[in-house]
Amino acid sequence: MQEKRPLLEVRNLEKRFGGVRALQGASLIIEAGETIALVGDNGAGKSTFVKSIAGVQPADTGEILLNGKPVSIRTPKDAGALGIEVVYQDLALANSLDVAANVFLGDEPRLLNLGWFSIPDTKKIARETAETLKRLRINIPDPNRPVANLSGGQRQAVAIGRSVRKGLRELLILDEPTAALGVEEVRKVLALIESLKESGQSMLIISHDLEHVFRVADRVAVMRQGRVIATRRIADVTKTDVVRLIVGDLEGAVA
Amino acid sequence: MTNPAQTMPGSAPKSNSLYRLTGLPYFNVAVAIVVIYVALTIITGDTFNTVNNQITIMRAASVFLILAVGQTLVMNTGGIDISTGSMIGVVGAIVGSTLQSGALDPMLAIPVSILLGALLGAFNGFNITVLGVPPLLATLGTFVAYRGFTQHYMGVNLVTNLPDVVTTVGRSWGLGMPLAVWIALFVTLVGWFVLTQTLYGRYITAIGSNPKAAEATRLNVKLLTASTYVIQGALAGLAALVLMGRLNSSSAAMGEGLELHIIAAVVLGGTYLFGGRATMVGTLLGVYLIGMLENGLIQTGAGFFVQKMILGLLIIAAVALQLQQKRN
Repeated sequence: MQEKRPLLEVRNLEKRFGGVRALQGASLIIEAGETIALVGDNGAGKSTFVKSIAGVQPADTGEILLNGKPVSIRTPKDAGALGIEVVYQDLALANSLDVAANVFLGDEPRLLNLGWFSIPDTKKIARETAETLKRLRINIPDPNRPVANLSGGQRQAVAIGRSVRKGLRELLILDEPTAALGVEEVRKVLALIESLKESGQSMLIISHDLEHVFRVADRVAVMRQGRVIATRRIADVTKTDVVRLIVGDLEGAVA
Repeated sequence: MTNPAQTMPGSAPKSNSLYRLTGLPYFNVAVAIVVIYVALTIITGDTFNTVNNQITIMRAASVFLILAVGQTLVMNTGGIDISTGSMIGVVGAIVGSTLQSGALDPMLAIPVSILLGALLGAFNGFNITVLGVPPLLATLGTFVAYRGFTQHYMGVNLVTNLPDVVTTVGRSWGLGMPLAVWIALFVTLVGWFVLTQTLYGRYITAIGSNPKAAEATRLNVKLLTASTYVIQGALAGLAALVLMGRLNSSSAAMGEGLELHIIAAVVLGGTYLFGGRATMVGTLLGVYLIGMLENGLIQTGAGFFVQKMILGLLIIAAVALQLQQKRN
């Protein structure tokens, strides 16, 4: 069997919020190029886990290794510099700006560099946005409209497009990418995830929807009470098995 | 059964018909100006629609316009600054009295006014972004505190006979219009440029639109937000100088009651009170609309208190209209 290279190795993360132990030694290995789904009941620690990898809420203790080297992720900036990009559930788009402005927000090419008062190169921004959307096969009829006017799926696509604009990231984390979307929209977003997967993007996807998990993920990691209690190859399990891991009797489930 | 997708973020806020028709957020105010202009021309006979009267309106509006440009930027971040009139009071008191006593070189009056204003604005920005006090309350606090300082400092004194530099700013003419109007138009032009052509304009729009998005894209949300209050303060310093120059005096009451006037103008112009959309052209039109209304009300014999009533109700109407637009 071919040995896969571990991309991200998370060891024993602990995180307390006052008296609540949100993470109680959560560990996970993500292999390069794989798509791993993170599932679990509400309050199992999925968000806290991801926030600690993304530097939004660093863990109290524990270790993170990227490509075998220990890394310190204390801020979202640290995570970004290491190539770890998160697309949040609330999408983090500026509604009143257009697609191109959102895709480049905070990283605009400039015609004239005057710090905050720089003049952006809007032509280049529009051109490269169009290229990014084309590369990802995202179809947005009028990218000059404010993103508020786009559908939920299109907004999700814009958010994902922004995160991979400069090419593949080390790890792309998608937080509930299909939540609150209509059927057709879900289909498009899953297709986008599949095309990212084909191009070799490593992804960690938080999802409540096992249907979607089983369509796109290679492996599923189940969180419970602040720990990753099991990881399974999708090919080896049924949805019922996973549900049992999420909510069933703990002893029996992990055995 | 309803499809949940239909109620999700994708179903965007649409606007009322006029805005949708033209795509211009300031279309409403432009229509209002035309209608009211015609009405006032008819009502007043021939006193409203004259070049001299229009210049009077613009001259009176120049101080408001300078402040409204700053307010547009502040409001675009989702904030509000109601301390502008009180900042004018402080700058007027300190700069006016030090000029009179000879402690301040008249040549430094302009930069010192602007810097002092910026400092007062920075205090607002600090309280809002570092201490986390909501903008309305933070600036309500300084609205009272700055005015209190001015009244304590000035007492019943009146500073008069200001040096030429100051009166020139407030009173001289050039190219057929008062210098104050040119200054205000120049400030508006710079404000328009910053808002629509620079990254700063994009960034503060992003903050007002979705602060989380701005933060996620690693913008310095706090510093950017605070900077709009600093700009508002600096412009209040400039406005204080213009006002002092026009009155050739400064007193404890200088700048009182300006705030609502400015906020009404900006909101009427089409800038969202809740942030995320701003228009300098709209602000320019909003300031003119209110200036014109005030002028017209005086000419039709309505008193100062009636003006206040109308101004207050206008703010409510403008905000209600925006809420309506957001909901539809």
